[in-house]
Amino acid sequence: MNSHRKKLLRVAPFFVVFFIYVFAALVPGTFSGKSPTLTNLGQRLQAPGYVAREGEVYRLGTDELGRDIWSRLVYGARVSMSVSFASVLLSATIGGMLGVVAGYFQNVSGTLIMRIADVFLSIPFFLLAILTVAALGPNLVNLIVVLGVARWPRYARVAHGKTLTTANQDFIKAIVVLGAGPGRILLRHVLPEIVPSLIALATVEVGRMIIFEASLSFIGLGIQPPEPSWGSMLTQGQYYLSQAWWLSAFPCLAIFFLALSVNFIGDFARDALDPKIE
Amino acid sequence: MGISTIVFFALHLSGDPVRLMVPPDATLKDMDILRHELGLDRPLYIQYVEFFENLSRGDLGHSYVQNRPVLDIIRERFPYTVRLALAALLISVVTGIFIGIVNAVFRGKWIEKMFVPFILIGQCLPAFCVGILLIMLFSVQLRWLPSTGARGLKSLILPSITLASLSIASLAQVTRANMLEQLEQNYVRTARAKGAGTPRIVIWHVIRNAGIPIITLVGLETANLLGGAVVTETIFAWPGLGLLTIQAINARDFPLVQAIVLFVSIIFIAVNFLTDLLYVIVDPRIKLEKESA
Repeated sequence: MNSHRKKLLRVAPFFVVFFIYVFAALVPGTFSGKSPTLTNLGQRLQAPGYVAREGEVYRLGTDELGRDIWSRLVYGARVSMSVSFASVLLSATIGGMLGVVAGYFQNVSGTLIMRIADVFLSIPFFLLAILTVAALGPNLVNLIVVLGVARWPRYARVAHGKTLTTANQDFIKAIVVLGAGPGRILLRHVLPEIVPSLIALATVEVGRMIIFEASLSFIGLGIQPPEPSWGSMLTQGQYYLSQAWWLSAFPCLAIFFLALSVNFIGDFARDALDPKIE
Repeated sequence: MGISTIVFFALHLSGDPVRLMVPPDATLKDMDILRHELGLDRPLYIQYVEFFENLSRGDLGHSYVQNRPVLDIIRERFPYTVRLALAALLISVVTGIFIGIVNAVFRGKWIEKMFVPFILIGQCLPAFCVGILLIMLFSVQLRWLPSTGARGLKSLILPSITLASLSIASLAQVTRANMLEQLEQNYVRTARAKGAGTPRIVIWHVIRNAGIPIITLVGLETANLLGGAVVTETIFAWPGLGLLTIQAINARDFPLVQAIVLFVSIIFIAVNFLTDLLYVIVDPRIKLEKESA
């Protein structure tokens, strides 16, 4: 118990960082009064700390269209967070359900589900994501759906494996003898055994999804301009590397600290819930 | 087969390539003619069947945009990606395993703590951030290395480091974990009792035993490098398959995209297969177990 508390204390700062991001995503207005999409060509590429004539301070400078970088970062948190969390939720739900079904009913449909999972896993994930986002058209919903659907086999594998071991245990046999139907068994007895492992995997996956979302935005397949997203800020920023480093440096930092805190929280959750997940 | 089915349908969801191919002043009739020539006016299932017929003959079709066999285009670009991926693999395997071994041997000492920032960066920064930071430092500030293009060895350095940054961290961690596990085994104690020093024990005994999970991961990471190449090649304008993928997608060049994804997936599977073969070479016990079973 004591070592557990020590671990909790160690990740506490990361929880704080993480909740700042959550807050920024939910109510960006409290962090920045400026519009993230308001352009002003008169003040383009101004260095961090720039003070406009009206006395407005641009803490992190302005971008190539004179927009406030700080506001764009704050509003960009919304995209990053919603895509990563929603897609993880989606893939955990799909993968978890299919995995449980495949593991419990070990018949043709179960085998089929796991075969399809194998096929998905044999296409390099990032390529699959690029392909489908490009096909469906890049926007917030499609991004979530694609990342969610492309990632389900990982959850299905975990759920499948866990269900196989759970379903063979004596207490399940006892419930079957008592006359419980498969629906009740799966929902009331198998699922609670499996959920911790799925959550453990999900916390690890959130960090990965943040990076994947940023990467997709970077190659132009994420949220479309002028809506701010960290990845697409970098796409623009790379053209001004020699004149304006702040265009690229700050989005990188934003991604880094979010991914860092999510990773530490994920490690903590994994240790607490299921130490066996990769 | 499963792969190509997914790829085929995903692509045909994406709307009309013809509209992107014709000049803006083309008439509807021009577009119909082009659509007919490309066979896009036929029902989807017929296109699907035909796609498989051609595939079985090794014919992946013609590029809509460049109007030549897609395999020729891939053959042109693939060597660049191979060069990049091999360089990145070399960098990540050497540094990743080195860091992992050092961390395991000097567990809890200051040397281990020194590497922590690198590992965190590898885990939490996307490759394009690493790439852009490297360009900032080495191309813009120091002017040592070119930031784009593929001319000579010098232009390979930054892209390969960028691509390698993806896998160094995970390789180091897996190496460390397995080394630590092995260092507690009895054979290590025996070797120590016989008077062997730490370097000798690590190099001759522990690495070989810790090898299997590391090889598995190297195989997986090789496959990831192929995916990561898309982003890296975009940053550095490296003329490989990754850049080609993005160009093909933007031009709605179905046959080319299909071919690339199939091609990369086949390589992905081949790499995984080779990894399995490597097990037997590294660990003779695996072969013996199979024979007796």
